Amino acid sequence: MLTQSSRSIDEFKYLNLLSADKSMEVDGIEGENEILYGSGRAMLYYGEIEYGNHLIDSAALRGSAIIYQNGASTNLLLGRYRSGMSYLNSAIVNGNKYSIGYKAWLMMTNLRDYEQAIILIDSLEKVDGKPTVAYAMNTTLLKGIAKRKAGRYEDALLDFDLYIIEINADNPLKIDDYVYYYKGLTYQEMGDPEKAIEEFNHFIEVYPNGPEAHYGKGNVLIEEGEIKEACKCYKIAREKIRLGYLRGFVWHEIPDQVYKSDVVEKLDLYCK
Amino acid sequence: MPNLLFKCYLSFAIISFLLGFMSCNPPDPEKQLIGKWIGFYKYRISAQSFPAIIKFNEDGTAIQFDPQTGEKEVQWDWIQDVLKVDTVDYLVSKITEDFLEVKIKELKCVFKKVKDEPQVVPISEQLDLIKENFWVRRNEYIYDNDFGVIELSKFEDDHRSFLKSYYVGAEFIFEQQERDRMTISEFDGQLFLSESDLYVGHDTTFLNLMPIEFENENTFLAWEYKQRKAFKKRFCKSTEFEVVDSSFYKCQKTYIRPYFQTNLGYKNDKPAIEEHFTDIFQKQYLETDDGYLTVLFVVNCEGKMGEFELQLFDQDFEKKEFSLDLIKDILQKTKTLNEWKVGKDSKDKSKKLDSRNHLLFKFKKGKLTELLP
Repeated sequence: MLTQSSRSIDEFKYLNLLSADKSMEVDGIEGENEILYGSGRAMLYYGEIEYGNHLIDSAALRGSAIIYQNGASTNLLLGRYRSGMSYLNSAIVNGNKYSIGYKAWLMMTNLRDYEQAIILIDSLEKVDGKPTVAYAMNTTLLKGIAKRKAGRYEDALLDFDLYIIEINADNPLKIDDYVYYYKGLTYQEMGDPEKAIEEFNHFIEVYPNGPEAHYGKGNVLIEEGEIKEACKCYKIAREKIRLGYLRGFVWHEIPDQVYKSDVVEKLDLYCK
Repeated sequence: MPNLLFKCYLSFAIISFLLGFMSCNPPDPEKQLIGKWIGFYKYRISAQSFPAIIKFNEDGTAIQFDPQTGEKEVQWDWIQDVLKVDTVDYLVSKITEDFLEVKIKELKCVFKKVKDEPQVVPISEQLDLIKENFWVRRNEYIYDNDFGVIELSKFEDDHRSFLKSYYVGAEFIFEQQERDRMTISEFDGQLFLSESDLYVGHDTTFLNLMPIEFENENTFLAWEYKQRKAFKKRFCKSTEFEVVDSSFYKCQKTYIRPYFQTNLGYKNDKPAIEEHFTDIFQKQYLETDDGYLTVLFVVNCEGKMGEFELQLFDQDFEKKEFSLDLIKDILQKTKTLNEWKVGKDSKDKSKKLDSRNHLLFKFKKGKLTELLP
């Protein structure tokens, strides 16, 4: 009667519940904190939100700021912004620098509050020194993207150029080629189609598989009345998307996310 | 004389010591075991519910019951710390008047003693009373959810149909019919309600055993044991509703994976979802409608939506009120999204899964500016 089916054993092991029980003899607060957090996280996925966060709170009170950070991440990924942000703020107050960058990223991508994202990136750079990363992206590049989205085009271009200089000085192989895509978009929005195309071409040169630049270039050419050339670009973009080269995150939309439907719509509109 | 006094004193001391020694003897654990025990929780930290009840008799027999296999008479014996019940050895770590803690290999289980109380409504009438009527249950406070919920239930043989009404404060927002798998079973003169985890395969995946207790003919309680607590679910007799077959159900009650783990999608992606909300993008609400509104929901293995939650907050992530028209419009539109690409198991693509998802609406002075994330 109290034996477990193999399915439920696998499931509970995956969710850390059995391992939590196994560690009854674990010494030290650290081990117990990991188990409390792991069980709390499992409970969140199980839909037991209150109990899950209660376990995470217990772990965080006994342990380090990183547990607040992890609690934030789990809640936010599940769309629970109130509790997630509360944990994230606790992580920051408790000295977790990484959380400042994570919050900046969230403000930018999930909440589209670009000015707040810029403020947070600046404060991270003050704490951590430059160059630094927020959520695995260079903060200079991130600031450029945020400034562009906030309509601060000149400042954005300065950051993009600074990023290129910083990375080239360190290791040119580390550069995120999408910086040229973002530069192209910025020039396009500033009403400078020549420079926009120049940047898209640069992106295509260093990363020909990126569909975004082909699509971006196509959009500029449409505005210039170059329909035939634009259609060539859209067709290349569609092919690159079909091959799986589109940049995106599984959790949320990224700034200036391009969708297959965007390209298909343009092809239907202009190229039939 | 002193000799006599000394003898009296010594006798008194000896008698006191013996009495004290006898009264300090711990109660016999085997005697404490006799009676009925119900599953309280399993696992040390997550403290999950489990569907089991055992009645130990003095003659070395016990009756086990769970909603899947029903009643079974078995033998029990207690040797040192090991309680043998049928073919299973339980290592007893603790027994008190009210609780029994055992371990089966790595698994910790705690049982709670069941006290037989007189029934207000005769057991012979209870099942009919439940099945012939409709029952309402109110859930005004739900953690981290700005919806209050009222459920109007109809219990059938192997499922419950319920009309779920969603409220913000006292204001009705919308209602939706849902279904879940439940069964009512009887053991030793008591009824139990059990929920199943899977909709298909429900009779092998029971999650709990909730004793039913009638307060009177119009109200009964179902006690859910988990997380080291007894949660009381009160059902009150209520008005009827028309049960429909096409109601929403979750293919799995627990452990519904988030959208990014099941690869849940929507036909033509986010642009199509944004287009669905065009009317709301164009509408002007109150100037005070400034902040964020999150709608959380489940998309089931058939692509239907249900189990809605709501979070309203401002730029500082503090709770905030929004106008009712706005909330109603958002929910009416959200629940009509019907072109989901159902989530799948990454290891078995043929297996369709329920998915948790959410939409975040950003409002600036009464205008919807962004649909996120």
